Amino acid sequence: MSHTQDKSSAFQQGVVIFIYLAVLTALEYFVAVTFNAVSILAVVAIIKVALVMYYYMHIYKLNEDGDDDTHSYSYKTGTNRLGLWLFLLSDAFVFAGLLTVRINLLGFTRPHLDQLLGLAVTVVLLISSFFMNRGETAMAHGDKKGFITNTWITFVLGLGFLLGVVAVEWPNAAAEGLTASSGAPGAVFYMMTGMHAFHVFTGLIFLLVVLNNARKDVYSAEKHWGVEAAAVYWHFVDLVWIFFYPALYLIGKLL
Amino acid sequence: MDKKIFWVGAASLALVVLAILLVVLFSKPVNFRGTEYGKPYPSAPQIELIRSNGDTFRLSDQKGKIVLLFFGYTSCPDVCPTTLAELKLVMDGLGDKAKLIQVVFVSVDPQRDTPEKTQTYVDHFNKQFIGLSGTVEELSLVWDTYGVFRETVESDSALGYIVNHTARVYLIDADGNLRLSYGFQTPVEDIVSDLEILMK
Repeated sequence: MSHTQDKSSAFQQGVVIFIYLAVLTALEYFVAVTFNAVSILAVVAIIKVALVMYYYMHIYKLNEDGDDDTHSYSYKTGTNRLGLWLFLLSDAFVFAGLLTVRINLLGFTRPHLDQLLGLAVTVVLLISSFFMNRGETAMAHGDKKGFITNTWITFVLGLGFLLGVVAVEWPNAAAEGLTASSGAPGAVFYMMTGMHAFHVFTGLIFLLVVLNNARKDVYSAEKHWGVEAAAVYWHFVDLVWIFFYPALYLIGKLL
Repeated sequence: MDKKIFWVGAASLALVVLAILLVVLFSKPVNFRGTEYGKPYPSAPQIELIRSNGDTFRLSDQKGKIVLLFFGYTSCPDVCPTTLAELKLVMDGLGDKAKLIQVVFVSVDPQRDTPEKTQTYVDHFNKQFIGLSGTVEELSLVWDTYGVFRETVESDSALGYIVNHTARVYLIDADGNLRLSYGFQTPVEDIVSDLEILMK
């Protein structure tokens, strides 16, 4: 597949992948309501992860031919990229650990949560990933204005997710008796959503930094590692939620 | 845009449909909700304690019934009464089939809980429940073989010290094997659902 394409073609690709992710999410919800089969949820999650990792996080760039000149921008970007992915791998272990704890402590039962709210914040985060990809694509083609607009939209949606979880879901759950100390379900819920929300928060800060840098013309189509790093980190945060959403909201009988 | 991307979409959809088909055709008829023990199911360690009426209680004598085993103490302020109340609701939810279930409560506080006191305590929830205590040596054997955590802590309560302890409910099937366990505050209907599967 061609990894160098013109901007509008790249934009179109971003849209198509988002449509796939949206359809898969709808399927996932449908499956949870009808079948109650964790195996299907797992398959859907893995496919979504593969799509995000390939098309949005462009993991294949790790395989790009490096420059022999160790002082060149392209060489340094290559090592930076590897460093970022290694960091994400280590971060993934933290979240995998929490997921394992959830399965061990709660089995196939799940805490009592607001399904509509869960689906809403999931949709918001997925759409934010779409705009993040759009922003990064814009910058990769030298479109500073497009980058800033799309990244601001990403930021607002990300903030919406954060508030949806921390300012709406958490107080709602606590009002129903699900608190961090009320037992295993509460502890698991707040630990998983809290750790994830913290990453969303740091992602938002990261976005503000690259937005400010872009405003000062730091980036160009050839040199925008900061933008790529912010985008990849943002998609990673979405990736974690791709597992955490079904793990918290969709396991067990829905109706 | 690369046309390959449409093949990727078709392949993804096909994979999901395949997964759904496999589940519909081959899925296990059972869907437990508690935390399952893996196969081969571990044999539940023996519990042998003298009851308040003088009889010897042996876990092995309960074969043929499903045992719901819980560890706690009569001075417990929250976890034990809540769990025992929920186990009473489990029994209520089973109607006639409740006679195939035996709830067993083992003390983690031998200094204050005598066998009589423990039995009287569980009687308040359901007269079919069995409450057991013993000496520290006898109970330590049970706590250790079941991996039960217990820790006494001084408190301001008029009852004296409190005991932190493992709050899981252990399900032992009619063959005497550990099958499932439930964390504190597992919904009653989840335990009832699992029991109904096992009793089929």
